[in-house]
Amino acid sequence: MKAITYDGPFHVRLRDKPYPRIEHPQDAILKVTAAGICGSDLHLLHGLVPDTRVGFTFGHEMVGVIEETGPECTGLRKGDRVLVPFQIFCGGCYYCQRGLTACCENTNPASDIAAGCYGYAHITGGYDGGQAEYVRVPFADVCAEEVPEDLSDLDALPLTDAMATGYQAAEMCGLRGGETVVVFGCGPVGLYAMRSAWIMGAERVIAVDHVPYRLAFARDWAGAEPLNFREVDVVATVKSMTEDRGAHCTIDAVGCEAAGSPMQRALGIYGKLYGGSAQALNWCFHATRKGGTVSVVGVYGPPWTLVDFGTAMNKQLTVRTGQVSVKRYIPHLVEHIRAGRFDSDSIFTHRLPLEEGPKAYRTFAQKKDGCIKVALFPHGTPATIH
Amino acid sequence: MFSVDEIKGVDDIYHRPGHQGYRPVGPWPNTRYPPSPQPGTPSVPKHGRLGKPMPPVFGTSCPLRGVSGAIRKWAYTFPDHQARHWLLLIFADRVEATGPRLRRLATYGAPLFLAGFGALWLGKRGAFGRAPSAGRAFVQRLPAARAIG
Repeated sequence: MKAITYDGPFHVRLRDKPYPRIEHPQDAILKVTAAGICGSDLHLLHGLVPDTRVGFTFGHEMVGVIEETGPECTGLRKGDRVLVPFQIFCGGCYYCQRGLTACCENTNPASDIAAGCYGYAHITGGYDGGQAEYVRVPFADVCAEEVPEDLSDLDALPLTDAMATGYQAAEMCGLRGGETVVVFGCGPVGLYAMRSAWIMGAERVIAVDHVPYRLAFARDWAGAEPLNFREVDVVATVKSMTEDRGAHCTIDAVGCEAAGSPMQRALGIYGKLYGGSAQALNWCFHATRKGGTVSVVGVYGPPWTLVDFGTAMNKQLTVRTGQVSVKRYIPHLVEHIRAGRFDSDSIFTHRLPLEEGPKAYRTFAQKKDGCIKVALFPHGTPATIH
Repeated sequence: MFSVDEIKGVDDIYHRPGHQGYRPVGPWPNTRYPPSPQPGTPSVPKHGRLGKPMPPVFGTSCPLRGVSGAIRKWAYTFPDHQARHWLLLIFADRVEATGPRLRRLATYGAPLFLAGFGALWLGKRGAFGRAPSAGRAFVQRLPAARAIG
């Protein structure tokens, strides 16, 4: 079968891999009908996440049809159309029972810091990802969620990660109404976080990025006030917009590849002396008012980054972080999609067959051609996408 | 066209999925606990924290192999709260990446190098219409320099 695989830093390659097998009685094999390329896939692509192995299949956002089930996977049948949260979780451990499926302790031998994930290096368990024709889904009838008939694949695809992550980013701000929220990063997660902030009652949403077309998209799609940090001092500008105090809450939807600091990029990204650039997070600390909240959903892989934590401590900031426990959010977000509050159709600016995956990665990584988000279709692009 | 007013404040703080009262503590539907152990060999060794149990389910993609595999195996003997665990994994990544780099070099770099070398070699032999000997002949036709003074 065809799959998009890692081929060393800055390269992915379409290659033939063996059809996945049922390895555990609760497994299922999913025929992938749509897979997303996530901004955090770019951290893998750029060699910033340890133990990313050559030949490893990328992709942790996927929707598909069940092709085969294991003997203990009784909740699903062949032909069921499902979406698959990006984490793999057992459903019954200490953390899963408390709704923290992103912290499951039964799926990742490699590390205590995260649960197993699809297509996200071997530090999250070594599970092949969904940018392939077929993928193994462990604990399938626990993790996977049937896609309601009235939702298209592209409605459901962002639920597996980007939309849920953006929603949780805004939720972690604890908005009660009337707040100013600054969102760093106008990629898909940042955009969903902006809309979610409005849904939770924010009074003002400010979007920060340096790519003009993305700022324009944030203004038009999410109603945010755009700030280009190449043109203004972002912290001083935010403070001047908020009575010299700073925003009530800031959201880091960028992670470890933030632009804006040549030193951080030289040492952390190009030199790989530590885990990428923490510039967006440092701006969050400075642009938040004292006693405010910083919500971090941008991915920071191990081992460490140059974080200005003294500022966070002295300003009495609350820092909330975490991978979203997707399963918990799905029913609630489906209602928002049905009500038309998240218009994912326009987020997917690029819809391509799997074979064009390497080209899609280049376009997405280099922020060319107005690219916001890419959907790959391993079994052919649907004739009509509604 | 998107209108903020249509969605503003729809979700109050007590009815969001992250709120602790949103879902009671308990297993998810279809859970079988404890899970039965997966047979086979994981592609990721268990990291070296004392007392860490092997989880029942694991990935099998890209098993350890070669020099990078040996380094990774060594890295996983250390627990994930120690820097050497991560630094060794990063080092193994760089080692493994040399393979594809050399392959790309062989695919694109070697033909380019050979083409350039070949062009130079042919150029020296006048294959592009200007034999080096013609230049020397021209010099020889010049009148000999006269001594001054």
